[in-house]
Amino acid sequence: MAGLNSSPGMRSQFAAIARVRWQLWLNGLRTVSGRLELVARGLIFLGFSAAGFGGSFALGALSWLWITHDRLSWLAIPLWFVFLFWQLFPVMASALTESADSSSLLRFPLSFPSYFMVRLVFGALEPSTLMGSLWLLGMAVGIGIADSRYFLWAAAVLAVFAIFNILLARMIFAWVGRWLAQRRSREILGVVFFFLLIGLNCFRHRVPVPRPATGSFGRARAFPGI
Amino acid sequence: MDAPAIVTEHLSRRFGQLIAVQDVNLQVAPGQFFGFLGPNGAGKSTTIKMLTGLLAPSDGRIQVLGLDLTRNPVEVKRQIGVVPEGMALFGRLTGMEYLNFVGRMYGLDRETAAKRAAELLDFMQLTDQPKALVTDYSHGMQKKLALAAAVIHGPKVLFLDEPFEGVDAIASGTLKAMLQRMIARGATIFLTSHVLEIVERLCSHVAIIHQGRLVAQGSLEELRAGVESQAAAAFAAGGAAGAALPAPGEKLTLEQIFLRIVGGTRPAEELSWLG
Repeated sequence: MAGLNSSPGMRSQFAAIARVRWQLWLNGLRTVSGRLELVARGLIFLGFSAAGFGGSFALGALSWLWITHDRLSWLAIPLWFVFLFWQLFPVMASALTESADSSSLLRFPLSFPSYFMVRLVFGALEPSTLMGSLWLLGMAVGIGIADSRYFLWAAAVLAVFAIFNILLARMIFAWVGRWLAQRRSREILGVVFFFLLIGLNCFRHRVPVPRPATGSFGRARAFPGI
Repeated sequence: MDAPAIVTEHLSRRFGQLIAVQDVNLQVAPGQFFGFLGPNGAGKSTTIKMLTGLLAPSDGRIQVLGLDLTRNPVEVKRQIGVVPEGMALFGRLTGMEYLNFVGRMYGLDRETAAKRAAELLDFMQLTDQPKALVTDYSHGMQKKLALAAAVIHGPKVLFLDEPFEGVDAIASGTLKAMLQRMIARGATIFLTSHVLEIVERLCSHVAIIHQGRLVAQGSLEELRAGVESQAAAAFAAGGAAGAALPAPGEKLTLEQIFLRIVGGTRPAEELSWLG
């Protein structure tokens, strides 16, 4: 086995995987559908950027508002939202798009830590991770501006929360990834999500909207369930 | 005497209630061209997946080149090559890009990977359209590329799941030439195929799996002798099994041996309406 290193280095394997993903993307542009996909992805990127930065600003402002009005426990509300988005969005997105199945790398001499890292790194580049991280960053900044004593604690807790979300999302994908690699499964899930969204919309119209109280803080207090 | 290249002890795999592979004890010597046969759904691909570390066994032990697969999966994978059932190619890469990637994943340095990739593409006659994507390759070309990828790091053991399925005579000739070359070099090849003529021509040893259980294992001569003696014994006892006996001077083909062991013949009168 001349030319074979004593053990395939993690770094060279990572470089090979990164390079192959780049080549896959680049070669995808050789077709008309690939070029159209690039345009679509550009638009999606703009949308995600707006949602990521806008959401980050909004959550930062909300965190600032709640901290300045001594409503610390209300911070759990956006965290539930971030959690649900972080876990549900990737599954929903993969139901609507075809993505590379990293389990195809299992036949190569990839150690468990390397394989875990590959999945983690790929997961970290997903829109849900980037947007979730931006939103948490916004919250940390909002909390810090409202009361600098809380900043370090908030940053540490939100960092742990982000790591938890990344790991949980990867774990969920380890369960459903192989299933979602099949087109039929993705179609079934896509239809389920479609009906779920329509169902939620119908449900929203049947729920009485509480009368908003006066003043910006009063409106926030009128949030259902608080 | 060298240690066996592949050993399984009481290898089993269950999927819920279904027992796909049950208590399989295999032994493959180094340098052997080993054919692993069985009807559809017998457990061949499940066994290959377990032997290559893609699927964990429910029970039993696997040793490849003297290494326990469960304890040393990375070291074992480094020394084996695999052509899996679905080939697992990346359709949006060119042949050269794909082979380079595989070479790098097996730890070849950049120059060696590029050099070997070029040589393999040339040997497999895949150099006509260097810019063509794998997804645009014909089925035979994809098989040749999958085999090239499986050998780029010079594996000591090669696992091939149906390498000749859907391959034309020309591509098949190229694949066989490559495999013969590897055997001459001292590699061990573990092959599953439904094309029994090819297995008979290439393999020195064969195992037959049926309904998840290993029902025969040995050299072709041993299997032939076993079937012939069984048939002769049945004939002497007045049974109809003597019909499988060859004419004097003729040898049983692997297909006849296989059908005799697996018992897959059906009476033709079942579909009498076909005429």
